[in-house]
Amino acid sequence: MAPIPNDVVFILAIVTVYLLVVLGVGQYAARQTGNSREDYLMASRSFGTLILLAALFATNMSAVTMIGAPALAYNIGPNALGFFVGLFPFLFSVLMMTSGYRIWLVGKKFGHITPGQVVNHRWNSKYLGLLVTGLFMFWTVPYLLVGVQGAGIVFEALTDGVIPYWAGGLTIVAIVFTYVYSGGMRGTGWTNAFQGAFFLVLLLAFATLIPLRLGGFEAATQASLQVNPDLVNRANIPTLQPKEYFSVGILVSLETFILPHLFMRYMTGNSVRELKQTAVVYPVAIVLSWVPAVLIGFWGVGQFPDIANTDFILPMLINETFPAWVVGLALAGILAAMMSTLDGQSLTLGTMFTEDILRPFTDITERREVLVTRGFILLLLVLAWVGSLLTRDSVINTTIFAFTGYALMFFPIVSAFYSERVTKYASGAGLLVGFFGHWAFELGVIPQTLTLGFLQVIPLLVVQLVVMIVVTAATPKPKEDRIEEYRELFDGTW
Amino acid sequence: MVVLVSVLFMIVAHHSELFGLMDAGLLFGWLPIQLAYDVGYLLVGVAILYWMAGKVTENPDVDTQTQDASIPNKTPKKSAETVEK
Repeated sequence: MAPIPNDVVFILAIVTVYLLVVLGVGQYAARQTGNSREDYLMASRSFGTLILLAALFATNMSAVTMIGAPALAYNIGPNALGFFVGLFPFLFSVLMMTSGYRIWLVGKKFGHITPGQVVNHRWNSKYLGLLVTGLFMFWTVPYLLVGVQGAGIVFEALTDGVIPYWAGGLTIVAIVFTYVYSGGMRGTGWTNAFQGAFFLVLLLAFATLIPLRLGGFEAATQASLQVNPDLVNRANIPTLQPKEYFSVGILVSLETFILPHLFMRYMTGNSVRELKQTAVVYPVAIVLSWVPAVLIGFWGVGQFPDIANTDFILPMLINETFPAWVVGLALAGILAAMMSTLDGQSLTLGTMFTEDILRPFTDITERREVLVTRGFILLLLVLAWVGSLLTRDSVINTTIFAFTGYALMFFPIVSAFYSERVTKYASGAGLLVGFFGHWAFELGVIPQTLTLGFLQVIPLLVVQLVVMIVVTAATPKPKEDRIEEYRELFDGTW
Repeated sequence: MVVLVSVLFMIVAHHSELFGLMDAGLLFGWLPIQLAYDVGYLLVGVAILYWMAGKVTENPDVDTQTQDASIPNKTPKKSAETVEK
């Protein structure tokens, strides 16, 4: 066996220290976590603004930001920001203040934990929640996989292959499981605050230091434009034409709001004040993370004009530009972004499994419920790791596939908070139309020409709404007593 | 209504091509104008959100103990049992 280079040993030492600190934060949170299901799964709905912002921001900033954004900017230039996250921070924040507030209200009033419980209660249903949970699980597994995939990529790239792709992914899975196991929702919230701050600072530092190492901001930009001058000209980039630009803006806004791990976190706020403050600050956090990520990818074009897998651009740029100790910090920062998403996703799926599948249909005790949640989280993480070994798709492609699935769950769920007339049958039909429609496009059963140049999510949203209206008209009105409860609860809200 | 108008305005304004930014070039010799536009656009969004946050009313009736009635067809569990760590 060849000896490990000193630089790599140094990098691994820094990463090990970082991972131990994360475990320490998780362990500290675990000590504050009580013994009830409400405390383990929802942190007793006690999050203040800082932790809630961190939980929503860091959970949502994942391999997509650290790997996908630079790769996208490498391919389509600095327009990547407007294209992927231009509209979403504003719309998402508006949704947080409107629908998010209503979700918080029903969670607080009725003690709901999962989206499945919310829709079941609103529509007096036993099985609609099961469908919602099943679909959320289906779309979250590929998204979960993206985090493990990203960890494998950066470990391999920044340690010159000493830590191979499979071992990098496995390491992250093990760390995440350890602190989610002990700390539950509070563990993820606190580690998210720490990890979110860490990768934000690192991204800003790299966006400043990388161009300085390349001869200044102007030199870095000009080097990229010499390779591909069209990167600042949207007219020549097919992806950035108005219909696709519009489609992605709507897609990312709707799917982000309805993500199950964010949906559950809307209900963890101590009061609605936390949600309001988080909504106002959220776009600033997106600017601070995405501007550096996009610029780094853009500047990478000038340094590595022709790389096979653009997902590697950020780690390659760091590896070529900085000494080993900085590379170690970079690796830790990138892993921070990925772990802070993996933890929220896995805890949410574990919770939904026990709350929506086991609890309503079996006589499980509260103690056993938490144990099963933990076991299911382990199973999910292992499956995601195995999946990451099998997939060959890029991070952004895998993400957009899953995002479309989520976005098509938006109207069937959010209609619960805004329409007294929509029925559970209409919601269920909308969910099924979205799911099968998405697959029909993916498998070529429905030709892409029918999208009229938009992404498939746009025509599917339109068809879904039409189907929901028709089914609503054809089915009996929901019971008045439940509607009255919600009418009173939502009185005066947006 | 104002919320709806703000959302529609931001959806339209997101399309920077409406402001002639399909071939935008650089600011200060290095910063892509498209990127500067997107950042400015989001800061306008923050101003709108700040205004909206001041208008959101809080429902005082809900500031009470959370009920454990999350599953309509099943009796809620007792919460006295402990959880193994």
